[in-house]
Amino acid sequence: MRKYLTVFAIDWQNQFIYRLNFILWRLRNVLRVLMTYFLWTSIFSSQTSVFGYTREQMVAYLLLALFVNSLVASAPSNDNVGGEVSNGTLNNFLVKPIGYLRYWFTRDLSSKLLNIIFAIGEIALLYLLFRPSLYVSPSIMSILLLISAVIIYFLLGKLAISIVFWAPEQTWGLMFIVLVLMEMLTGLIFPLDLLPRWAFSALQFTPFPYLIYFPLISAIGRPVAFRFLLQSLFWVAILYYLVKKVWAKGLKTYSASGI
Amino acid sequence: MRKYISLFFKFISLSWMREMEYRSNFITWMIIDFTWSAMDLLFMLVLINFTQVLGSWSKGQMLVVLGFFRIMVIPVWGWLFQSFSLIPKYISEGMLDMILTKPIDSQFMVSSRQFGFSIIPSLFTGIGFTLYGFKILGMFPSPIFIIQFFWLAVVSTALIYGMYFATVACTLYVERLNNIHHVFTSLYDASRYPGDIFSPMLKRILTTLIPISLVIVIPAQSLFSSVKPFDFIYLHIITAVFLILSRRIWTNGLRHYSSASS
Amino acid sequence: MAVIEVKNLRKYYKVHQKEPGLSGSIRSLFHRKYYDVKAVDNVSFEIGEGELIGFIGPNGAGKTTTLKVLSGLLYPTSGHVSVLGFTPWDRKPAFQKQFSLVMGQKNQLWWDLPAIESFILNKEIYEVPDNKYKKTLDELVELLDVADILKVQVRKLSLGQRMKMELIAALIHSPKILFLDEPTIGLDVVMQKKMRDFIKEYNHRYRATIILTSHYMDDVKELCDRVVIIDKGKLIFDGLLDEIIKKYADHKLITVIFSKNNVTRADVEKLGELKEFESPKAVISVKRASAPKVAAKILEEFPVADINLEEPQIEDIIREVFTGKDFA
Repeated sequence: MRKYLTVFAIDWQNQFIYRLNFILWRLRNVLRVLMTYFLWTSIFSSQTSVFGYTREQMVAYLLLALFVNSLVASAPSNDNVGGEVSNGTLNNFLVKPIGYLRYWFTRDLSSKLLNIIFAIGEIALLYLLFRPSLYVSPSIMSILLLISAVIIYFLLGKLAISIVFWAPEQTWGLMFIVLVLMEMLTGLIFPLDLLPRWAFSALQFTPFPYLIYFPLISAIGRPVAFRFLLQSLFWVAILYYLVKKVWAKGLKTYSASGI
Repeated sequence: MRKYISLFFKFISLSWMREMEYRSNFITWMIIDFTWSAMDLLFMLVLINFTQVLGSWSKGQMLVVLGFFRIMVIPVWGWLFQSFSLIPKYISEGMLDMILTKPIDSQFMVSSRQFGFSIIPSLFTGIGFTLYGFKILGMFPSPIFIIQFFWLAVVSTALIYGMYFATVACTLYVERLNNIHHVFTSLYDASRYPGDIFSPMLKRILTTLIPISLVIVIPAQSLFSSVKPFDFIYLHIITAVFLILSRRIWTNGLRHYSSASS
Repeated sequence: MAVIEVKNLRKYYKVHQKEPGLSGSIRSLFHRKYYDVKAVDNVSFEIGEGELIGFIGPNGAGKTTTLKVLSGLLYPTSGHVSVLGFTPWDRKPAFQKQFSLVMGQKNQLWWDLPAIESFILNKEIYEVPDNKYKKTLDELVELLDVADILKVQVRKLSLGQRMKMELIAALIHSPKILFLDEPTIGLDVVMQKKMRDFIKEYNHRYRATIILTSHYMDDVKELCDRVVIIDKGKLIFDGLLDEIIKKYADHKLITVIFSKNNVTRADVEKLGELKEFESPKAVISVKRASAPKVAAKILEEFPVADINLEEPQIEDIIREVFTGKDFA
């Protein structure tokens, strides 16, 4: 346990080396929220409610999406693990008494903490600018959904990356497909229940809505059926099992081929 | 000049050969590009589901604009992003020094180093969206409009180049500024929506100082409505301004870079 | 007592043959032709505690593959390997805490932070107690003379300084066994020398078992008594460095400088194999056993200004071994 605390502490320091770069990253996140904000305001200029969302609720949704996204999707592991496997840096870890995926999960947590701190500041700023009626009521349910989302996101990324064990030049490909899908299907830029009913139902059988949409609507006080928490945890279990299996297999291939 | 043109095409063909070396990668990225188009369309359909007009555009007009946005993916992703994303790497790994010793303009060199071809699906989805848009509008532009459109598209590409390069050239002043790409691309993402959706102040900025709301909108709009003479002229002026500005930032940046690095 | 035992180690890679052209690559999607590359082919050796051994061989000979098997990064195709009583590829923490692998071209330090942070991280990873960590670090810092650069960002260090830091990071848990893969690669001559002195000193002081691979014969000549030569996956020599000379160099070189220019090529050719003749200098290669006789003969029959009897250079011998030629 102590080793992972040290990893966390060192990664934390490392994040401050290129401050300006980090601030640009946050700026990018804010710009995207602003963009969606203007889009929705323009739509609400012609009607007062869209599928039961009032203008205020929609703005609250988008602002909080900034927070949930910072918590769930801040994961430097996604940018680094593929490269480390294909260029052989992974070997540095395999000879040491430390778990590689645990190591990266710890670094992700450190990144999440920093991003959340910034997200809270940004939301405060945007709140002063737009003064939406921000109603937040986190419950145990929403916290569990959030934790589950963090884990699903991590596991999904590592599963997509594991292709690199068999195709070393594919450090980004599959990962990027997942990221592109996430952009739309997690509920980051619009609440998923705006989709046609059949599409929304179909999405519930993918891991995507459990990443942003369900934790988020739960946090803004909309009722979320208990079965969605179970389904979310079910995805954790399934992905955990898959990642374990696939990585064990991948490491075996890796050790046989010796990149 | 001829040297530069032939070098430009040489770089394109080198990139093509490189791309063909990693075919499975190439196919994956084509799938990604296609998915991207599909997601863009999906999001637009979700939006249009609620309002028949976005800003001042109807559904058909929005499709034409989205189509042009997809077509512009070819120069923006296939060329600019590919080449520019290497610049921070050149700087942090000291490869820029190598480029500076070559008897070729360094801006040209870093601007045309790498091309990507996996954006080919966007050509088809882009044309598809545009045609579908015209079908809804029940019209088709006359040849003279199409010629005007092509010219505007070329000017827009130059403008995007200028804005993007001006942004990226800032990496010469500050160490490790990779994320500057994300700032530009998230701004650029806003280019496919009408300026009217923004607050009046923001709209003014995005149509003048940071002309994001012009680059896609003006050429695309020229296909279904006439271009205001002012917009036409302003687009040319601001393009020239950004080309000069980005050149300035680059050359000054190089001076800063070579005096700062050891 | 042997700390490393390797018996009949084989490591074959399956490599698929890539056919040229687009149609070839599509065909190979469905039907691939494989062939085996024998990276390590039936190699056996034992290494005792505290030995400092050099692995030499040309690029791709199987040196790095062997080191990777010994450190548990690669599964062998067949054979028995035991390091400190462990099977390396089980990757048991108890085993991992007792060895270290340093690859000259790969780094484990955090690029953007001072090296000391990476040391602290390794201390925690290897669960080194505080007082032991302090003691080890102080000793290593003193030995390598890096006290003043501990708090400098790693990316700002020179290659040599960085290599020193890499070594400290690898040694902070006082490993019993050290695998060094090309530790001096890319370093300048002075730095190479310093690195060698350190390795030697470390070996003496801590009785650590060290296996070293290197391109530079100087590394091996200066550090290792015992060498293992591997070529094309096969072990072709295992023994003392001096024995290579005895085993492979059954010739000696006689260099003569004549005092008069009247000695002809034909005169000298009768003495042995003429390697070089540029009047008044001649280099002749003769059988080891007959060398003294030939030398005496030269002194008797020719006007000699200078004569020198020498062993062939170790570099030359090994080069000749690898190229499979006879040498003189």
